[in-house]
Amino acid sequence: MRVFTAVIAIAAGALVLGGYFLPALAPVQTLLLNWATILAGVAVLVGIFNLVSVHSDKIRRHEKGNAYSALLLMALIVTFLFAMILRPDHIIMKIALSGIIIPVEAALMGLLTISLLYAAIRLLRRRAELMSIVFLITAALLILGSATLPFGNIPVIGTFIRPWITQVLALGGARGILIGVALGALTTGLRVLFGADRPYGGN
Amino acid sequence: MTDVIKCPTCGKNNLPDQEFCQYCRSRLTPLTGALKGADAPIRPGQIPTKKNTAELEPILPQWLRDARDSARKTTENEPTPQDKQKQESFSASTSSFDLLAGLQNQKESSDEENEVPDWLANLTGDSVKPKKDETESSEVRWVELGGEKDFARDEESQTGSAGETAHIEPQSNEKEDLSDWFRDASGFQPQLQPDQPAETENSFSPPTSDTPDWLRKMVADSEPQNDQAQSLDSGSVSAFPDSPDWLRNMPLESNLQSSPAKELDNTFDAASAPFVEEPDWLRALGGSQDNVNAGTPVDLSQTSLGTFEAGESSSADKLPEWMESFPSIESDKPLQGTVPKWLKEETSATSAEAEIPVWLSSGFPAAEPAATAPEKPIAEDSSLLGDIPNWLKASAPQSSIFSDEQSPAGSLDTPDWLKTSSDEQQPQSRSAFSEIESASPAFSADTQSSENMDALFTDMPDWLSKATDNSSLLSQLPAADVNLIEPGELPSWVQAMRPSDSGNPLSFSSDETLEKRGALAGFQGVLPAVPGYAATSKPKAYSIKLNASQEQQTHAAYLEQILAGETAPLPIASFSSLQRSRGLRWVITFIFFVILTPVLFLRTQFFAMPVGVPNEIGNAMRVVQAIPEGAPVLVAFDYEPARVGEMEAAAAPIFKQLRNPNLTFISTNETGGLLAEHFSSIPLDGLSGESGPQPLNLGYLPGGQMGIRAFGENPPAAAPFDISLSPAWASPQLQGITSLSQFAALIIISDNANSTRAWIEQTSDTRGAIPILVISSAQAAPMIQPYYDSRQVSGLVTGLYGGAVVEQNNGSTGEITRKYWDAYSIGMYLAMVFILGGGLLNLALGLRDRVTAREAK
Repeated sequence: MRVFTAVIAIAAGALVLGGYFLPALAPVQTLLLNWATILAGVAVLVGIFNLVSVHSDKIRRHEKGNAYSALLLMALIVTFLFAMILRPDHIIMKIALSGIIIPVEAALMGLLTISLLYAAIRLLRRRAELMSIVFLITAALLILGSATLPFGNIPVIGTFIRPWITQVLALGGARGILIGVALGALTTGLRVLFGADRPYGGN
Repeated sequence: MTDVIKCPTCGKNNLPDQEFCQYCRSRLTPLTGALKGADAPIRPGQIPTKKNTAELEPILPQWLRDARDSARKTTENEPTPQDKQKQESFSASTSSFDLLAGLQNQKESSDEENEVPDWLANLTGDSVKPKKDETESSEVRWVELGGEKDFARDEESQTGSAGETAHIEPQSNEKEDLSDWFRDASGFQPQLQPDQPAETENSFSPPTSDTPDWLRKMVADSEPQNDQAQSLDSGSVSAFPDSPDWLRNMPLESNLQSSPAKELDNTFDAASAPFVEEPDWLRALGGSQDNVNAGTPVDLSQTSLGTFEAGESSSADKLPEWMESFPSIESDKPLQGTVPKWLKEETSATSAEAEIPVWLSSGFPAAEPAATAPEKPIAEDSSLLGDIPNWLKASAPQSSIFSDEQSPAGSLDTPDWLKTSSDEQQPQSRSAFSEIESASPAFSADTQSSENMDALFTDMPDWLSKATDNSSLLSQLPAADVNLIEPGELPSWVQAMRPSDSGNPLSFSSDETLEKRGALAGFQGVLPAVPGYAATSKPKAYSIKLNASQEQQTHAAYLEQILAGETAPLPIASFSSLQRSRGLRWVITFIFFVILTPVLFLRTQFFAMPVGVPNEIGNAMRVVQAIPEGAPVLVAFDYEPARVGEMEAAAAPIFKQLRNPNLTFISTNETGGLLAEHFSSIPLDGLSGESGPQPLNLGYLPGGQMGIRAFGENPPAAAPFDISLSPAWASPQLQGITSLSQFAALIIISDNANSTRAWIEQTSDTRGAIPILVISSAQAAPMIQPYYDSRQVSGLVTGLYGGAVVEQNNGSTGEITRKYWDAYSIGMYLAMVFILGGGLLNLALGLRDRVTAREAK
């Protein structure tokens, strides 16, 4: 069975990769990618079913926080029913989005802001080292450079330091990260093609 | 060429007159020439000529000269015919070894003394060497063989018509069977045997050094008695012409002796039997033919004199006068009567094994008939007792014949004569000599006459022989104790050595406990046997508690502390965990709410809008401005609802610049379709639909990167329906569009760099030349910036700052970004203050804590 799954994975990867170089394999590549898209959509449904199963089990076992699980399931079912019945472009669905989803997630983002600020304040007490200081100073400069004064941009910081940091230092680091990601993706693809890695199972 | 000499070393030729090689200077002619003339070697068959080696005498070692002198003296003084014959036979060999010629005689004599006995030679297969002359005493024969077979052989010799020499030779052969010490022990016997030729006495004179101590002591003890006997028996030996002077002088003295003296003499001779180690009856049987004729035994029950007469007389012609006074006794006893019947029967049965003692032949299969001898019925043996004289009963070793009541049965390995212990014989011998014992204390040795036979045979040491003096102790021992030991368990020689048999229990300590069993039977003071040993008391119980002093316990405690310190884990130097400061969090939250909430609600405009347009924002504005009016624009909504405020504020100014766009929304996020609907509800000119068609929402595009690629290759196939499940590609917004490249522009609104990268990379070969405009959040801008620098992205607007720049430069009144800008700026300053101020404060606190920790250490 392991060999069979490996053969399927390697063959699919080889066909998709070959579709970039061989036009004859393009239809096969497209077919396989469509299958993958369908499977991804089904995976979302599977994930939803798994979520329902887990929280239902919590409610059945009366575990701690089962009330939240019940609330989640109720919201899920109501939203699903409304979305299926009323369609997403219905005004109720827009209200639900504007009145529940966006404020909740925005509130979480605000809490994240407070937490990050709190961590930055306590950082030097926990790690009074150079990199911590550099990190805090960089953050302060970018924040200060993003803001403006009542009379305009902050001189030097807003006009030179912040653009230089974001366009040079951050760009260099981001490129390095992207190149690393590309190399990692290439290596992972090759390992999957050669059967060294089997993320689909079978070790 | 013959005149030259070839060098044996270098091989070169040299002149014949040269002594050394002229090339290598080595000698040409050897210093030692060939043996010639007198020096020539003796060849085979050539008789060597005697040489005068007197000149070499001084160079001999002293011991060799002494040996030569003694050899010459021996040869000159005693040139026996056999020695002469041997010298002649070995003259060739002796002449060849001239220097050792004097030792030849000694060697021969020693060889004769060390000759292998016949019985041993027969066993080993060696040829029997010529026997020595018959000068040795025949009285030792019984001691050597000790079996009834020997008696049978003697009987045959007696009944035969062979001459005296024929009878003497077997005796001498048997004499050769004796060991040296035994032969030495019999060396003084000729003094008591006047029929022995005087010249043979020298042959029986062994070196005193070879004589055991106990034997020399026996000789010393017996000499006075012998002298006395000689003085008394001189008359009896006067008839011998070859007798020595002292023997010839004896008759004169014997005439003066009275009959009591003769009785004493006879008694003495009988007592001396143990020393010569031959009983009288055997002397009569095995001595000579004359002994057979004249050696009539005398029954001791009738008279005690017979014990001496039977053994002393060698022939009728040489009988002394005092011995001739017993003709009536001898005539009453037939000649055959001297040999018991059992002896005659055994002789016929074991004639073939006559030369092998029973004890030796028992170890071989051929000796089985001898082992069957003890199985004769006792009744038959008892019937034979009538033929045995009393004196023979007293001295015969076959006690089993005379008294089988106490003899153990079933011991086939033990010879008959050895089975019967000497203790069983003592009562008879003592009864026979009871009168004599009381008369003379010297006669006490006679009680061991038969014991010493065994003792001498088994090489019993002198201390053990002396121990027999305590025969009275042995007589007190119960005979049953001795018989408890089965003879079959012990070999014969061990039985002979048992002190119980010797009649004297040995004690080596003060312990008088007598050992009654086993090989140590008869010993006293031996170690107790294991079974008899038992613990007499319960073992003492010892406490397992450690007895340690206070100081030792203190040291042990120190050691335990050291070990505990070694095993205790060392704490790793780390910062102390900071307790959560919920107050600080609440303070920060409170400050932000207190300050920003009024700013938001008051829509203050204290802070100025950003000045200056970055390149990416300027290019984005140019791309938007380049989109033709009413052109289809594909917008991808890939951000989370949490960033709706930032993303909508950044994207709204861009969409405000569009002119009657034909928008198509699609999202790779599940909530993207709803967010697109939310975004389209913003009252903007381009989104209101007032000046153009309503945007088309394709909804959620599943599959992530694969879905994006599939959508790029075939958009109608990847997303055939809109969010309301209506055919999207048949709608007026998408009429005539079948591929991604037919869109005028691709606007990606994303807060995730990965989704932005997926759109850029997966549609690179299908989108054609359409521009890509990215509106991202501020946190994803650094990861998208490289695509802008690589020209894969036409314009980039990041965060509220980018929207404010676009809004500031597109001539709008600042409807969206402006209302957030004061709160945004104040919030940035507060965050900076908190980071810098709180960071410095905590840095100081951290330094204080470290100093405190160091001081504490």
